[in-house]
Amino acid sequence: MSTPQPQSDSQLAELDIEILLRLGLPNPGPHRSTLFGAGAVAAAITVDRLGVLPRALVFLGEVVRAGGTRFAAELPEPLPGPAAAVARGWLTAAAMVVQDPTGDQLVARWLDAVAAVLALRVTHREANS
Amino acid sequence: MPDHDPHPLGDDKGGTQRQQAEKLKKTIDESHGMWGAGDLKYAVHDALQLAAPKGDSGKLGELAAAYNTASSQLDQIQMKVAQVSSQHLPDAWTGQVGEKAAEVVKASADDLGRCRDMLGKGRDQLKALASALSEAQTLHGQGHAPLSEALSLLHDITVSGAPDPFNWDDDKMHSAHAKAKDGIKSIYDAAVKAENAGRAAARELNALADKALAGKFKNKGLGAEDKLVIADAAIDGNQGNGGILTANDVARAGQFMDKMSDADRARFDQLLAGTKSPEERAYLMKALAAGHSYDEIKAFDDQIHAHGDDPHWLTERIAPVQLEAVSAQTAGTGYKGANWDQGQHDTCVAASTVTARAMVDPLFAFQLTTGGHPDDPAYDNGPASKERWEKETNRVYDTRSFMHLWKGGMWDWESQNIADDEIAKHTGAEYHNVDLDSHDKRQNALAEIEQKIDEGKPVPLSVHGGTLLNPHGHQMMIIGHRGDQLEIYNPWGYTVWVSESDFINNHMQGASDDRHPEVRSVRMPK
Repeated sequence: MSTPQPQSDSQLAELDIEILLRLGLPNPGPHRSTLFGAGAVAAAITVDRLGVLPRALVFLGEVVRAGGTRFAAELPEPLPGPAAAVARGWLTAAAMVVQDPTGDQLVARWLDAVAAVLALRVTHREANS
Repeated sequence: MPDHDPHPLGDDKGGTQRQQAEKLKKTIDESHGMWGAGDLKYAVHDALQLAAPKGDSGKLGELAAAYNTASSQLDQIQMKVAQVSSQHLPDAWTGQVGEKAAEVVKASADDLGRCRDMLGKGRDQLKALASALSEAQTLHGQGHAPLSEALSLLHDITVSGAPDPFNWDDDKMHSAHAKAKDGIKSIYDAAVKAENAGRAAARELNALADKALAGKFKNKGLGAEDKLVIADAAIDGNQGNGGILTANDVARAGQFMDKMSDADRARFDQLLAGTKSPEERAYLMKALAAGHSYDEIKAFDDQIHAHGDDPHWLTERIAPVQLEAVSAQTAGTGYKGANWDQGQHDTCVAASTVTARAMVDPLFAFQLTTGGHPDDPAYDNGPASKERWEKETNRVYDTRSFMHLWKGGMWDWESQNIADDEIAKHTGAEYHNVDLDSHDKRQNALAEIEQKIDEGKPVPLSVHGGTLLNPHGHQMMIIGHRGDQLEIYNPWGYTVWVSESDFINNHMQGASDDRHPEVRSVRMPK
């Protein structure tokens, strides 16, 4: 097994999150781990740069739980402002591979994971501002 | 016999009928003068090869007639069933059985009425499609004569793809161009007409298919009569307002029902059986579709059951967002006269995620309108609901610029103490703190940490070092594991892998720096 490599924020930000969602959601395994690990960090960096706060991601997760991924993908503004298009892209990619409430639950949990990483970034910034 | 071989315009026949016609129309419209003659000739030739819009308007007409017959038959049956529901049943049966029977018969009558209307709408769509197709085919045919005349003129004045210097005639070219433009316009208009009619019919027929709600209950167990009654329940008890359950709700409720344990399923069935109206039942089903557990739905029903037979009371509090009933973007979303609007945010109410959640999650909507205290005037009123709406909207739509107004001037160790519960404060997620101040504690915690990671829940981690008088602390997050390695995100701007052995033995410098070698604690997600 190769030694896993560290990655910087700028490397992480280049990950294609939509592809990670399509590969990682259908089955447990290495793709799923990447989606919830580096993928969640990449997503958090992306929306952090667009000014999104963690609550918005958690709330979006609740909408996914209640209405399903497809329903959420059709929202005009799943996240505030310029992050809306980014979130629609994620949800549309996820909706391609998620078929039922179990899949929706996974998508919502991923959004929660992104929110947790984002909260860490925000917290860190606040503590050092 | 056309005198040309594969030609400079290419013989790309790709795209839809409309796209092909559009391309040729552009070429024809733009081919002028002597040097346009060759292009014009090829394009006219190709335009003559375009097939007429596909579709058999005769067959569509027959199908529409069959729908019409079915719709009339259903109309007669519906009238008879409606008569039973309004006149005969209440006399024949009394008590709970009678009430249930009346519900089922009424739902059957409503369902038959809907089927009749759907078939009627289907018939109208098919008729419209048949007539549009027939018009498009006629229009297409009308393009042929002018195109053939144009081609014949062009043969006279060209040789292969170039103007014929000996037989060139400007007038013939002008005339050919005018005729070709006429002909391709007919063909293009026909293709557009057929394409639009096909799209409109597909859209409308799909929308009709979506309305077949009872059939979307795919789960086991629920009786046909229950499906009918629940799918029939209407907003405010009035069929004109539309149904409580959308097609999405019905499909999801069925999926969640199938996932329930037998015990929960039995309890849920009992809950449904004890409801006072189809509307109350439909809202419980909607709560199930929104993913709530039996216990949550039971607690919800405890709050609404007293008003279970009052559809207006239920609708007001559980379905405050009625976007479809009003014009799409300007719905009167609000409660008891207090209109919910976006306040300081640019997002319009109809587009808001908060609105979306209120539409699909009856418990969330009920919380917004009543604050969880129905009938208590201190909570269950318009202005209080508006306040709750605004609070939610602010939570979701605030962006970072507001946070930047707050600047801390705290000691390092103070900020770290706050940071321990700060993540939970930002996300609302529940964690419990686990101190890891000994080798054994760290070793024992690993299995649970890795289990949480496997569940997709990152684990916040505090590290520290320094002395009592000069302590250093830092917070990171465990986001993955592989073999004996833990993947850690450091908000300084990178992910890094540390071994489990370094974690257990307090050699965490590699994840941050020499100031923070020791693991202090993790926040274990629930």
